[in-house]
Amino acid sequence: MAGVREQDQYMPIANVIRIMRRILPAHAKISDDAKETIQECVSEYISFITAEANERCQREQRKTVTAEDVLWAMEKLGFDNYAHPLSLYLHRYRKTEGEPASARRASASASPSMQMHPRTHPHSHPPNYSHHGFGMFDFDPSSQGFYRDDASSSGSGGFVASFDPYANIKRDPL
Amino acid sequence: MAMQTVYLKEHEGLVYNSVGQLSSVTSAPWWSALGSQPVYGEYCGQIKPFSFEISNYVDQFPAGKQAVRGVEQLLDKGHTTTQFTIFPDDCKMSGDAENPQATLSLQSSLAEPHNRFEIGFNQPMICAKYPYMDQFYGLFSAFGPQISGRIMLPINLTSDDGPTYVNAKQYHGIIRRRLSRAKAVLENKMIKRRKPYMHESRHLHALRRPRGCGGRFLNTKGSTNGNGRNESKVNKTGGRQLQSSASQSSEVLHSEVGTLNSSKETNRSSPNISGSEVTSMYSREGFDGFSVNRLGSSVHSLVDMVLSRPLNGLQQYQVTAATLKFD
Repeated sequence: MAGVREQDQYMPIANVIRIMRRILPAHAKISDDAKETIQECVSEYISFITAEANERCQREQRKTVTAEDVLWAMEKLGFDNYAHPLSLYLHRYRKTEGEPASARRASASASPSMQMHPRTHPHSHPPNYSHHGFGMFDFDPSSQGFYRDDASSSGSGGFVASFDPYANIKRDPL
Repeated sequence: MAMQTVYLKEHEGLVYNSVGQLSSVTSAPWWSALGSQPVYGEYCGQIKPFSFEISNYVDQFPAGKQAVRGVEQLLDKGHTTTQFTIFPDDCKMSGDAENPQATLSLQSSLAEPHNRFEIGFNQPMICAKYPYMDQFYGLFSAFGPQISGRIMLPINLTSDDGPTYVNAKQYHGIIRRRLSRAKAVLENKMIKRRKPYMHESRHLHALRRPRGCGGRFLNTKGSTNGNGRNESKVNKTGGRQLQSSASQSSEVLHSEVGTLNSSKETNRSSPNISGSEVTSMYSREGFDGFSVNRLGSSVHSLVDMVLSRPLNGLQQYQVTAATLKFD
């Protein structure tokens, strides 16, 4: 039970460390304090952006937080340098991935039940990502590489995270 | 009590007319003068940033209606901030006082809630009206030219730093997040202390595993030499070895945080070096994807190079992957 709380609160630290190592040379060292600090920063940043996007959804009487809401929240909070490249990425992603887009719509339609309580939405985002991290061992090499490559930017990581737990939920009963 | 309230209000007005540094100097003796009621003093201290916020909003909303709306929002926010502030104060009192003093402080806190609530209800209104012109005038003369595009956050009692100025666009978001975190703390959803492992059963399993010299897990699997070795794989193995060494030196025993990555959890009881090696090797192979053949060939290359540390780490990674699939 306590483990669930930690999963709800922070992003998995192994994934955070992997992202940190990607930008560092091979012989670089990362202290434990740095890992924990970055883990808290990325978790708070995700909650910060998502809370702003959720506020817009509440104002417009909607229950599903979409990619446009996230991009709008970034622009509203002053992260213009992130919002512009991510909008290009989203456009290109939707062009090249036709079938996953339809699957994402299906998962988006299913997710309103999860988002019936807007207050808890910021906290429900990390467990989705943790599901993705856990399921990483079960995927075949091609799909694993596909998802790993998409995680090159934090925004795209959010998109992939919203898709993977749906597949994992399907996989568990089997 | 009413006389003290009036005196405090006038004093607060004077504080805000002076320069920031002078106001900070004046605040200390004012707070010490109320030594018998520290909570009350801190509570009054919270009202100053509230008034300052009103001035900021007047600056941002030149139109009359928008200014009125801003003031109303600030009043609501002031109430919420006040409610948020009371909880940490109680925690501080209960933490610092001794047993009999704790009892006395509890009695005083029980006696005061109504008065405190009444003061909280009345004082923001009075502060909003009475220092309004003073704040408006003071803002233009003292703070306007210095700060542009920045809003001062309410002083956070948990951190003793001075006022923090943030991006105006992010002010509302930060306040909202502060309220969410405070609510989570109240509901005991936040974890103050990190757990060394995530799942008890896996932790117990790791405790039961046999260990060899130096605390590493023993491996019963044997590896055989294979054909098909080439230079690129040898180079890749070398890079992996370097990263493993870096991970070793950067790790501290039993200080790393457990996450959902069960490979790290499985090795939690053993020295963290093994866990970090598994993580770094896995991250090295991240772009290539997980493949048994690649792992097998890597094992062969490592065996040929006869290096004990990377070999043990890689074998443990293999065992961990098998354990994961079994679970």
